Amino acid sequence: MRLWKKLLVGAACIALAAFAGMLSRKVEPALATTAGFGGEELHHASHSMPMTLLGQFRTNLDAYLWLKTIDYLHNGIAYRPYTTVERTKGMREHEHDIGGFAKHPCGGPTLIPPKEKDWRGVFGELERNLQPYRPGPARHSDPQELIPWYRIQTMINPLDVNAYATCAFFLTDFAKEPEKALAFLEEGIEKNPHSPVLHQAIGQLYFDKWKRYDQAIPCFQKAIAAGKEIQVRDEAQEKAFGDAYLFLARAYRERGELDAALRTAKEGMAECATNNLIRVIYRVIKKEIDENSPSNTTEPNGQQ
Amino acid sequence: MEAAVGFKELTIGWASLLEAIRRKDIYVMLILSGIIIAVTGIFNAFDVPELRKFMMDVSLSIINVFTVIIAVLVSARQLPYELEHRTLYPMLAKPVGRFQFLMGKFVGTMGLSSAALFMFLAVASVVFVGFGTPLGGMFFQYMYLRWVSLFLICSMTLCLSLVLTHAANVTISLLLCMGASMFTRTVIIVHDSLSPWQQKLITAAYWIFPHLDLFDVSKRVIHGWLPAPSWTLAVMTLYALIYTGIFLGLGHLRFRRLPL
Repeated sequence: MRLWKKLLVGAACIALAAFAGMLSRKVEPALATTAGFGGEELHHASHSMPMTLLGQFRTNLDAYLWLKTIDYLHNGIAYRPYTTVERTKGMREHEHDIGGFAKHPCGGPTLIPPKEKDWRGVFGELERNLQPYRPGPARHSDPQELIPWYRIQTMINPLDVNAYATCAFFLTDFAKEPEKALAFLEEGIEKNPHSPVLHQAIGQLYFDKWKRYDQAIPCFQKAIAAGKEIQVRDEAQEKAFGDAYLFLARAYRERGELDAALRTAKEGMAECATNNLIRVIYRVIKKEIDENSPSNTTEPNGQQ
Repeated sequence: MEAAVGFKELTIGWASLLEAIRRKDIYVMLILSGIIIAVTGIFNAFDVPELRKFMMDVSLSIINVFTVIIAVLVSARQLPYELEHRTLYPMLAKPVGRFQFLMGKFVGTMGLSSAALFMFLAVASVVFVGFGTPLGGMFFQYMYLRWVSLFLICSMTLCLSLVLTHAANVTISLLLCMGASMFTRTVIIVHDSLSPWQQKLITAAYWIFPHLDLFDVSKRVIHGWLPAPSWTLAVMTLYALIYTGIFLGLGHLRFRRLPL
């Protein structure tokens, strides 16, 4: 083919792509779908093998990226949980909680065994020198390095609310960018409108960073409502549900609405019996109410 | 005499390279290099600090995977292609021995795989420097070990191509290359939980299987570790050359007896 013919074909392709782009803009409104799936669509999706496989692939990739964040946190050093045999000898990992939902087990041994426990001889020595390895307890890197991975996680699996919440926590506390964290959490709420974790995270952001209690209160209320709808809450949801009560009570207290704060704390104690912080805030509020009640006020003549 | 043998092998190797260029393999490499640039280019969209590690991780992972795939695919098809298309016969009619032919093919596959690797690394280096990431000593050690691992991969795949079908060879070679790390990790974790005879068996398997995972030091580059001691590079080079010799020797034994 001659050069002018090749150029002509190339130009025609570019023109065609541009035309298709223009056409898609015109067609887009007609093809717009509603945000949620209908019951029939969900039924078909749940019974479709390709959809199930794709969903499984997405979940696995999401889990792999989560492991990647742990890898980054430990500067590339791989840690492993204790085996059943080691557990029978009383060995246990301890959990590291650096905040947010980034609680992870890294109190176990390094995957590459230390020299005295390694049966591999020269291969073990080579691996200790060629791969990231440091004996002793785990040391953490700067959590800001994890942020891109959480972003990719949420792109791949927008239903991963823990990735949204943890990334927002790191954006706020380590990158010092609470506005970006808020935008990220709002994006998460769009994809997961019934998540108590994300509503609570937004509320806490308003509460902690900007002291905007008026904006925080509706978020905590939504988190509580969303939490009540869930029959069996997982660990993250349970924590967010309890924290929503705790911070809602604190927000009311900050606004001077002690009765509402006490009611919230009391309800929180009933709903989350294991959350000791709600008990603490309940006692604090009750004490304040007692101190401020007319029966406790001291008369000028010294009588109560 | 030695020089003449070397020349013949290089000529066969050069012919393999030309064949790859004719088959447009080189364009595939260029496209893959372009993908590396595109992937690293999207990082600006994240608008977050501390992207150095992330960028290096994605780039080096892509390089690792693509280099292994190219080395295996190129090596796996050399001998079956020659046998299938009967282009081997005119070659062997000339004063070229079967061992020289095998070595020539090995040189060709090494040349092509090395060209692909260095093309990828050149692109990655430009991107890293462009993003202000300095290339430390560990990066050059990574380059070297990755290149040395190609000796092992190419010789192993060439050897297996003489005993397995093309599809089986590609599958097993890729499994050995990609699954080496998983195998090592599993062996380390389960070793102490096994019975004594199982331990002996798994230890023997551990010592026999080629440890391609040791050649991948990308994690040290990504996480900013200091360069590894030079003796480790020397041992790894020796290790790769020993295995290359074993695989080429076994391949020659099989090729010599192959009825044509």
